Amino acid sequence: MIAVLALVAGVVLGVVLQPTVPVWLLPYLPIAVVAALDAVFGGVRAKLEGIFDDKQFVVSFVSNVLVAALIVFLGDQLGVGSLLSIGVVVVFGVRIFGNLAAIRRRVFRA
Amino acid sequence: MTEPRGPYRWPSPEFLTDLFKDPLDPGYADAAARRREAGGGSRWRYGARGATLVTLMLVGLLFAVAYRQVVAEEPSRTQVRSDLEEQIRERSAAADDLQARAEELRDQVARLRDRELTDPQVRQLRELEAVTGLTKVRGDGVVVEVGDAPAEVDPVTGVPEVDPQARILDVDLQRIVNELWAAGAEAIAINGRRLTANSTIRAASAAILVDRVPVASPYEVAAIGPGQLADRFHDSVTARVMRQLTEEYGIAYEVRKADDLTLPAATAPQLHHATPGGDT
Repeated sequence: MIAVLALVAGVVLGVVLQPTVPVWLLPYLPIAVVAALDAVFGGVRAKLEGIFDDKQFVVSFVSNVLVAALIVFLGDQLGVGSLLSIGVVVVFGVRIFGNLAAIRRRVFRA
Repeated sequence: MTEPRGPYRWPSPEFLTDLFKDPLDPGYADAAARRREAGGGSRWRYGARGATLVTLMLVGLLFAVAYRQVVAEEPSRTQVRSDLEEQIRERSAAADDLQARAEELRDQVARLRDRELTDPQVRQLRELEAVTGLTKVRGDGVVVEVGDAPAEVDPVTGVPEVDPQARILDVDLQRIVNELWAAGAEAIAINGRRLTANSTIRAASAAILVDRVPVASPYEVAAIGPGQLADRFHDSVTARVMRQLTEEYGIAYEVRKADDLTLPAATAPQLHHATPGGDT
């Protein structure tokens, strides 16, 4: 419950403060969002299965975002553009789907 | 490590298979196993709650920022596009106005000149103008119509597209025009743009520019010339090539005699470097 509140607080903070994103950060934003979604759904599922671990959650979020950013950065530098980030999106996408399916099974028993 | 999943295992070669089978980060299971072993409470346990909450707030912030970014970008994108469209419309309207005004002024100049000059001078000038394309001319001649093959709908993308092979190229128009000149044409216009000695027909990627103004398919090459113009053109190599292109690629091609054609005046070229004279 308190976790959901923290999430909402973050959203409210973002809406209220309206931080401007520096231009050089813009390409990393979408990938960071996908990475964050993965961490969140992974955390929710772990919570439902009773194996949630704070350290694991924090570390997985930070490393997800960092690795995703690194891959986007590498892709830019190597000149393959967004091709490398496709890999990121595929991996995180599969995990998000899988975790959502697990959550769904647990919540709706279906 | 009682579990097959040790905390420091290497990513297995079946990384993707694992990913599909069990998308949950194995770290959670490992941590749970460790907790069971240690009998509850790693040393992270207490500060960690706060770290999780901060992380979650960060995630929320990230979502909000990303959402705002996407929303903020969208209007600027469409805005730029509609601005450009607006500009294009405005400029072409302005160009049309100027064109009409130039026409008007040209008529006026011609009238004034006719009044001031003596008859033989006027006649000589008129002739020169007609030859160089600087005045409207009328006469019988021929119209050659060519056009790209009809667009075929791409079965994959569903976008109608003209086979690049079946497009009319700048060289096609050049050959037609040259052939018409060779066949005795005295005045030629493409899609209503009169050709002069300075005229250019060239390509800028997919578009064809006549005197730096884009013209679009179907192209109508109108020429005023002798009565045999159409027949001579019909027998030419160029006409044969065009007929072949029609058979092979389905481009549109038609030659027809036309009576009483009116070809507009070309815009007078501005000379910046060359000066008249030089007769030694």
